[in-house]
Amino acid sequence: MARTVANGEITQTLIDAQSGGRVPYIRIYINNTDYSSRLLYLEHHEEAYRDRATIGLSNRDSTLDNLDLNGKEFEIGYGFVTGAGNEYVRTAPLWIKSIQVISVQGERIYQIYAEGSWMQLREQKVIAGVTGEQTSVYSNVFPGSHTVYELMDLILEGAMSWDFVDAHPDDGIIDTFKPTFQINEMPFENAAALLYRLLWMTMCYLRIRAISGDAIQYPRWEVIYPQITDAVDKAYYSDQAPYFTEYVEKNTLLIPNSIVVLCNQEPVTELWDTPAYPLIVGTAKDQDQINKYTEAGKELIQVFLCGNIRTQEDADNRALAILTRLKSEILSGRLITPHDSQIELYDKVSVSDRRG
Amino acid sequence: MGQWILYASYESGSVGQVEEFTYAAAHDGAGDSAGQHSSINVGQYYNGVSPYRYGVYRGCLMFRTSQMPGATSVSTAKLYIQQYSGSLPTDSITLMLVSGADLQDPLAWGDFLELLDDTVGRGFIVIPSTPGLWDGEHHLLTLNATGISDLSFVADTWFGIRTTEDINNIAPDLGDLNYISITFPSAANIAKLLQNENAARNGNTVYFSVKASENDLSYGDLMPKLVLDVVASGNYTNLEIRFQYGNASVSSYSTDWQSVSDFYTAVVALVDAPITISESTMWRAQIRFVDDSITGSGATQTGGFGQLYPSEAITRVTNLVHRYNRELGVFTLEQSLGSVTSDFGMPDWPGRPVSAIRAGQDMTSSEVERIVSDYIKNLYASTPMTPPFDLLRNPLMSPMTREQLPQNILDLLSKPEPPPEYKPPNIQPWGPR
Repeated sequence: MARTVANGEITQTLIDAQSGGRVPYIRIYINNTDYSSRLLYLEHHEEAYRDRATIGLSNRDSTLDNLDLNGKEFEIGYGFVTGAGNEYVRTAPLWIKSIQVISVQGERIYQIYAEGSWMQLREQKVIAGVTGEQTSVYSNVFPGSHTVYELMDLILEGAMSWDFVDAHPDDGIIDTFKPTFQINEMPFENAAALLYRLLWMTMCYLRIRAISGDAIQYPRWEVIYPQITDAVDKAYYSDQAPYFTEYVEKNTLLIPNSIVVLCNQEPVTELWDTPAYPLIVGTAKDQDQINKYTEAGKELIQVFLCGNIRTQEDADNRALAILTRLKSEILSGRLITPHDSQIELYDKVSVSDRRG
Repeated sequence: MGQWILYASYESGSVGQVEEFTYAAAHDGAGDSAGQHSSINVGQYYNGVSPYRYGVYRGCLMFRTSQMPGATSVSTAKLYIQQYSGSLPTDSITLMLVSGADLQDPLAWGDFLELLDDTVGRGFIVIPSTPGLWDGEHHLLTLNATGISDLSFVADTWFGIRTTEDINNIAPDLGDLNYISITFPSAANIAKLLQNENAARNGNTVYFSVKASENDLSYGDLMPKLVLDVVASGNYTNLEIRFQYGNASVSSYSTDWQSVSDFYTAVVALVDAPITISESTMWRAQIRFVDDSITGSGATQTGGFGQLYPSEAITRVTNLVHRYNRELGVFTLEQSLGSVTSDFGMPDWPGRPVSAIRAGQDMTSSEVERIVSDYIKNLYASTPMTPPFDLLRNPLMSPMTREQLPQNILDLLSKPEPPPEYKPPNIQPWGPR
């Protein structure tokens, strides 16, 4: 859900400012210094598995010449100048990875490039604090001892010392399924890849938020479980506030449209369909997409091997999870709006277009 | 944007606690009557004939707001009620609309007590005791902001109606009959007007039904009705018209609607086997607006209030790009929707110096370079104002003939129209991912 007053994430004044008189405010506060008034340009990407920002600060007075901000943590704040002053909400923490000094005719620029938590996870090759059965000098395995959520928790809180919100939605998998989860099957995985593998077992996503306050931050991760029946978080209109300026949408035929998961592989011999370990087949398909493909309908099966899944329910859940993620690929859209500090990743928006 | 009229639904009615020896017993009682789909009593009395008894009535109105698109928002809401003929209070009374969030379907005696703590007004109307002035007329009650906020477009909306004397716990004087009846048609007639509610619901899809049977439409004038000025709404995604033929008894209102062709066949069959057409013969048509917003979906709709996107209900915001440029005054938010799974990968780290083994490549990635070069380009482009624009922007300058225009303007005017810009197909709209 979008940032709400009830959760203390945004003020009503700021929400009202989204569609009223708009004097934007961007807060750049790093290492106990407010650089907001120096801001020349900014491009900040908040992506599903990566966030980053390029920020240009004016350095005409040469104050920033010898400033070394590399490695510093900060959160960009977005908001408006309101009757109550400069109001803003914080986005997820970023860490400065490079600084550049640019001198051009008429301007001297101090440029910052910063990256977020997912990139830190990619940099983290060794998962300190994660425990399991060591299977080689570099490999650990969790033999069905932890749920998917618990494994994520080991990575985010155990290894990274970040906050992973306890209260979370349940998709029927994340708190139930206990995978045989091997770390560093091939050397060496990074923490982001591990997390991504775990996400693929579920129908959930992960969102990062900031914690309020100017003290040094750590990211707060939370589980998101999008469902068709979720309410719209924010509606944009072509002819009334809150406005959108541009919307592009592309719909793609889903290929494959049917998922088959082969499970219950013999763990020692790695043989399939043995008397002790009979083959378990999990399936899920999208009949609407099958019917769309050619006049007669065409089922296109993609087979996944998940040998460590041992029950029919888990097999079907895995197939459904994979299909759900593939269905998320059907639609690609791009929506341009004036700045909006209420929206965050995995919000559900609607676009009402009365043009034409 | 438009005006919607919702008639109070079949579930509306009134609850009461009557024939009590003390006012407290009547006012604070648990309720001993509940009537639906009949005239709605509101107010209180103290019978002036021995044995002297107190009674209190509270009204309950339900509107099927859930049948409207979930994203609906309204600017004004007005409630029209009609006073039952001959129903006049002894003294002037004030009807107060209050929250009905605690009411249930079907109404039960206990709903009388549920309304006791609902004392905050959602709008009011004064009913004088003057004979004839209000009799048989529609009364207007304008909902205040709280009342408008009570309107749900996901669930149905209940309101209660109480008199201010009831709210303020003021007993009526002996002989006062300070209550009125709000006209509400009988059960059978409501059923005719409102359409079979079961038929109007099918899983998650909700139909907004309008019935056009000639015999039944007149009942609409008698119903309490809510008139909403809608400023924003989701979309109905489909429009269908369907027919049914039968007689006017309630039981004949089956859920089996006929397609246009079947209906035509039935009409043709009547020619071969004529029946007696009487007042009770019923022909009806229903216009169905199929509303996907109830299910949280977007729409590919064919009529209504415009196109609603995204067309896949599961779609979520999967990328946000905040852009700010002080020189240009740009302050936008780009939201990418859907297409999230393949987004995972090991991207280059822009801005990071690369090792000598990758000599020949730039020190910075294209993305970061583009951002700064865009800014610098705009820095120069926006500095001096060019003469043609200076000329055009001067409001005091008198009109010129073509010959008086400077050469640089003439050069612009004489240029042929450029050919249409060619846009190559299959451009990925969401930029680098």
